[in-house]
Amino acid sequence: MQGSAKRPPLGGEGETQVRRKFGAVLVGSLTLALAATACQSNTGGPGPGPTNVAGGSFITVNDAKGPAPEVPGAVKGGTVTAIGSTDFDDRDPQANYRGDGILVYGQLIFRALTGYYEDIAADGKITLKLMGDLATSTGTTTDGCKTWSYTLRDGIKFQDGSAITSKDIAYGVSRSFDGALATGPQYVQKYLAGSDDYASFYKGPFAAPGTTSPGIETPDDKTLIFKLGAAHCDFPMAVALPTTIPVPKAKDTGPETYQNAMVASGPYQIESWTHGEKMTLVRNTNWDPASDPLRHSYPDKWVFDWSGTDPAIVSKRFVDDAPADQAAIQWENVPSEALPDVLNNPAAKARAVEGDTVFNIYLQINTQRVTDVDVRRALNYAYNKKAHLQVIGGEFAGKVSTTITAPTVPGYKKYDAYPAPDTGDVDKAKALLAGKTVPPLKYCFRPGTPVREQVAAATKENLERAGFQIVMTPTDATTHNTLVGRKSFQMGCDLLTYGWGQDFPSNSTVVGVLMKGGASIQAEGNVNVSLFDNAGVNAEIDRLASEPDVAKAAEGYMALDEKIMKEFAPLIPIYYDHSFSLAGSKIGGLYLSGTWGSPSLQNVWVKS
Amino acid sequence: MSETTTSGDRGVKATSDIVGEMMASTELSVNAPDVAEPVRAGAIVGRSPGQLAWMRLRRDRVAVASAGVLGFTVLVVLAAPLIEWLYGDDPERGHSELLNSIGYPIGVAGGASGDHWLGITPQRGYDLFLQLIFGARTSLGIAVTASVLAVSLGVVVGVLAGYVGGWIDRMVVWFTDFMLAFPFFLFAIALVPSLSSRLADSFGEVAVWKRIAVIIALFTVFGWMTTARIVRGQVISLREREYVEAARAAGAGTAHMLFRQLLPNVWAPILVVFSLSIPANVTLEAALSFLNIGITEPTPDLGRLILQGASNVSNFGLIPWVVFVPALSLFILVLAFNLLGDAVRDALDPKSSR
Repeated sequence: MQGSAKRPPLGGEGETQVRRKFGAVLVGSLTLALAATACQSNTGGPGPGPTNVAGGSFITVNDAKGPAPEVPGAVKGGTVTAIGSTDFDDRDPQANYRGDGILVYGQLIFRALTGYYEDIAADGKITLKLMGDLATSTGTTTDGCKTWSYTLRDGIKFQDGSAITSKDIAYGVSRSFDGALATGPQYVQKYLAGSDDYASFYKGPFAAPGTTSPGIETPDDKTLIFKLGAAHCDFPMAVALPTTIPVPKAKDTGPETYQNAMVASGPYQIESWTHGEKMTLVRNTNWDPASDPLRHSYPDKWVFDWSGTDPAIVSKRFVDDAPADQAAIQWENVPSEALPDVLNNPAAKARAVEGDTVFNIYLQINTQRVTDVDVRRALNYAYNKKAHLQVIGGEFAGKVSTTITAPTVPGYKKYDAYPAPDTGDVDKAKALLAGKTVPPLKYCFRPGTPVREQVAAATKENLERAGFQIVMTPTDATTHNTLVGRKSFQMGCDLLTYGWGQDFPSNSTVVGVLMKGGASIQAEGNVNVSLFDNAGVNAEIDRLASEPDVAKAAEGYMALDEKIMKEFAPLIPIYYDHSFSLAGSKIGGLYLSGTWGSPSLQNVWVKS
Repeated sequence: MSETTTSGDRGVKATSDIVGEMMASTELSVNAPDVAEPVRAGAIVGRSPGQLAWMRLRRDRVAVASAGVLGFTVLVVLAAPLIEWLYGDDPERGHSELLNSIGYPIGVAGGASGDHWLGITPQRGYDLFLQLIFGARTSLGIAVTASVLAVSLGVVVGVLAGYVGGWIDRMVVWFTDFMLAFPFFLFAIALVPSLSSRLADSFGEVAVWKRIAVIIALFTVFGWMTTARIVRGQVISLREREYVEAARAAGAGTAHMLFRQLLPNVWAPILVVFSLSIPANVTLEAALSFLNIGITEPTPDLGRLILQGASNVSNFGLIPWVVFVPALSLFILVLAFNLLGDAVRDALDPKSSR
């Protein structure tokens, strides 16, 4: 994801394990099957799942009513422990942009205006449904997608029992305009503003106390009207993002501190959160299942354990499946050093959750510093993608990527702008560099774990065999995720690893955000990490955003993807991400979500 | 210049040159009784305590074996570039073509072959043999340098405190206790990353030698305390001896007192502390690699090799090379240092039973 697609968990690097949570469903007779109309989902089974079919689409349900359908065989009770190594950065609901963070918030703690429900049929086929969450429908528009109206459901309450009103949602959206929360998704803000520069449209309720964003009307507690600056027919998907999480104004202590005492609206509330260590969720007794068509609440308690455990040790625990770990979920990919352990153990392999995720991992090239296109092309030829994958776990971690768009995005078509073996083509790279003097390239990467450092060393070595000079610049591991979206930081690097996954099933959230220049390149929360700015491309992206025919728009984006890579090569696509993680034997209902690119908590229950 | 003896002496006192790798030429005042050993029946040859110690050391088989191991290691480490040239590979070159798709060495025994005597490491595919040699070079280089600096600093501080006494002594003791109470790892974890970023050059890269210097400085700053305490104790017990008082009465200056009377008598414990602190530093540096604040990729490092071996312990294909060889090497090195240190202490102290 990162980006409408949230960042791969663990922030911009997107490499290696991290945040992958669930993988394919392997519970009972449920198997994930690739379906043309389902979001990416994959069969569990020996070896990594098959490639996703192109396109993930969804259906819109406008009359959904709670409670959510019962999961066959599920019972209430138990505590689920999710074991990972990195806490969410940016914990404020409007600032959260990490795939796993958004998933946990959205499925357990907070409700938004609309949301997704993944309906799993008896044969395992998944249908992704967009429906109203706090709202009764996904939104109604009578003037061609410029004005959207929502009616809120009955019985929606915060954890303290107070009713959730339209004003709480309006306030949540308004506070997202504040610069301190710019690290979160920016779609709603930009749509209301009618331009990418939403900061000049409205400053936010902290800079301008007592105000709400222009364009939002709340005629009464149950009605919410959005008047957008420009027509956007994907608005129902944009409001499924955490931007519309309701925040009670009286309890908002500020953009830096609200995260310490957030008010829940979902089935669970935060009992305690020791940052970097552990988060415990308990039932929110004021959540009414009859008002919520998206969520279940089978477990009594959720514990997120980030106490610095080594992913390899965690994997071994899951392989052993001791009683204490049987109701646990592995939050990160099985790392490469633990792969043989799992692959050689059929019982453990049967508990693996795996499949392709929405993420595509790139090495972004700073197009404003590395201005020679041939140098960027040479980098594309020289990069050794196979060696990179070998460090992180081979086909269980991903597949070599050649496009900006991932196969999970509607409209994906395979092409290769720089055909070369997976190990790269050094001769072609050298030919492109002939006669040029290339200054040393600064390669910024996140240090802190052996795998990341090995990947960095591999990148340096492989690019240097083509004649480049690479300067390894480790960032500060603890602040990396905050830094990586900062333009001033991006300006200081020549090469920066960055992954991206779609925010909703449309290429407008991949090519449309990664390659959009102009005002889209912001000081904070900038996802156009290659700082690519081409007038022709910008115009084409604007044209495609207002294209009413969704299929034509998807084709158009893919064609633009190919054109950008062939003519400008602003980044090096490295691999399409794959999720492979384990779960304890008492976990039921776990499956890989196409929407989130990681295991979904929607149906999880604890077997006794 | 010869020195006086105390009235309690029965043995030979003589000026002599103390021969040994770690001792400089100096004169030794002997307070303890000593026994001369005859080389020929009927002939009594006097030997200096240094010579006696050396003889005892030579006869101790364990000490000789340990010294042999260490000498061999030093030789290998110093000749590392030559070995690399003869072997024909590069410790920092990743052989991804010898790894399968998930990053494990193709073939049996961890990829061991004529080209790669100990196989290759997983994920990156480094040659293990060269990584071991160069990693030992990094680790030993850091450990020895840090030990030399730390022990020297400790000697200076200890002598200062012990000889001068008074409030300086009290201050030094307090400061030593304060430094001993410092949580080393917490400090290292906090300091190394931020120091490294400060030392980055205009490109943002931190040169390897700068990183090494940071680690050596860290070990020195946190390693002098033991030596200081020992030396201070020795100096305090020595400075009231009659021969020292006699020298002072005879008008000896401070320099003479320090360098001719006191320091020569504290060599033995300093030597032992030094030889024991080297393996401690090697292990400490390996621990820093565990915490990812030691020497980073791609510089070979013994600590990182051991870490990789530990995480691969259940991957039977990699046993014994990747999993056991680096740890075994460290174990043998540390054992050799410890045994040699013990033997040196035994040799220097004629009162110890052997």
